[in-house]
Amino acid sequence: MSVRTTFRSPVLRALLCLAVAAIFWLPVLHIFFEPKADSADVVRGLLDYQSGLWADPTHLAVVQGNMRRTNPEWDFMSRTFFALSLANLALREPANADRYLATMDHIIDDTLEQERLHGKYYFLMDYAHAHPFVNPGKRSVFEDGEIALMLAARRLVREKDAYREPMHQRIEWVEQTMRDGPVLCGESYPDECWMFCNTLALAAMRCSDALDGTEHSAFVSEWIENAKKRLTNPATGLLISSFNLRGDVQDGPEGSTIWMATHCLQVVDPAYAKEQYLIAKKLLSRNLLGFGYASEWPKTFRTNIDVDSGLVIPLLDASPSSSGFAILGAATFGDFDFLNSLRTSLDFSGFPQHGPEGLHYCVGNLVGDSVLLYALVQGPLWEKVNHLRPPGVSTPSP
Amino acid sequence: MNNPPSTRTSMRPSLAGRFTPRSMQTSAVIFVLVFVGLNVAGLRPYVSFFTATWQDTGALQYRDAFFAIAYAIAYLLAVLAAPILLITSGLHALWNRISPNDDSS
Repeated sequence: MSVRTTFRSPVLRALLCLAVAAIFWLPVLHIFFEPKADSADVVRGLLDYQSGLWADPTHLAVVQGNMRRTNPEWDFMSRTFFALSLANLALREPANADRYLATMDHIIDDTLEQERLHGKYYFLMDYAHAHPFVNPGKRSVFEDGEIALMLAARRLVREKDAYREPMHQRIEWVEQTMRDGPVLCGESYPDECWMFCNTLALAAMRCSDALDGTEHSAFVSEWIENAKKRLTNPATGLLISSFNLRGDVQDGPEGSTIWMATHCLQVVDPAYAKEQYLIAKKLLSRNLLGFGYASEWPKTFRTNIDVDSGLVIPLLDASPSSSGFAILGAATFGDFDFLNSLRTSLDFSGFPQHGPEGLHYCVGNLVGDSVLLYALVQGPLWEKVNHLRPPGVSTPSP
Repeated sequence: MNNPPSTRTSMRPSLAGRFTPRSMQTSAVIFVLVFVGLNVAGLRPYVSFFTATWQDTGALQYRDAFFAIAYAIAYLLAVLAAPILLITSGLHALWNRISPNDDSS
């Protein structure tokens, strides 16, 4: 049968045309989802949606309830990231600072009130009840660290006397909990330490040093040295994500942790943070036909899927959780090509919902929306900390 | 196993019929209309099922899952398959015009 005869078949012709069409369409598809260079509209949409929720207690309760059924941490983390976003926005737009700070105070006050009413387990998953905390204070560095950072961020924008003492208290708890740990890390859950929470706690300490002249630089240096020796996966050079109090690995390096850890470390030890970011990018970042994404684990390391790592898309090895936090990492380190490719994927697969109430991404939840908003506006808060107290300086600058 | 000749002959027109430019255009339009319809029906928020954030509780979670999967498939068909089918139909029509064959419609 000749080639000419073969292509007389309409089916074969159609299949050949189908292949050519796919070869043409798939590589250009990303163009339709690429974000605009100016992210102001996205920021405004995300801000309007989340601010609107906090102004509507009934709707907020439904949205928080939907998250809490799966993971109460998401309720807590969405508060933290939105509060941090508002602090950065207030520093970017001083004319709107009063409005942003009012919402921020509402979030902080409500968070403290919920914790007071329901106890420290309110924002933790149920398995926190399985065993008592090992640290003498029975504190969770997850909660204390994020609350300390929210309070510090508020005070860095504009002092609020009512938050000074609560912030000092949280910083003291965090520091004590971390010092009590053999590897200078505090528990997030009983005998379970997370790099995410401990690096965030270090950032809160840096904010405290910048605000009030407290002194944590020696502890921070000691922590970094210890982390390099005892909390780093030797095969990859990446910080591990979870471990017990003795430093025994529970989960190795994970994308859902490392990108946030590098963001927090940027205000603690910028050179080390950049080094970790570059390794993470090399091992976890992927690109398929212009769509960027991140894997949860390096190719050389695998562990089980859990609620933090989230669903991992088979074949692509794409992790929505890691990819979401990679947006924060890329934004932190000005890696705009990677950032744009990640946002392209988000607009393709995140099902953005634009409406009169603002913008949110249907495939995720309030944590995803607040992390994205934070990624797009972060910068001014860390700059202010570094301005008030450059990293590595042990005494406050004049 | 070989099919009887009569079956093979009867299958051929039907298979060829599915690969005409017009049928591909029709499929593309249907994909887009179904996706638009599911949007209008308000199924988009249910995709939060993929990140384990449920819109409802109890037995209705199965409904969430069904809506989410249906919406995601419709989206992929509208965004990936429909444009490819339209381009294919254009190429196919062009080819048939340049080099006609007996089976094309």
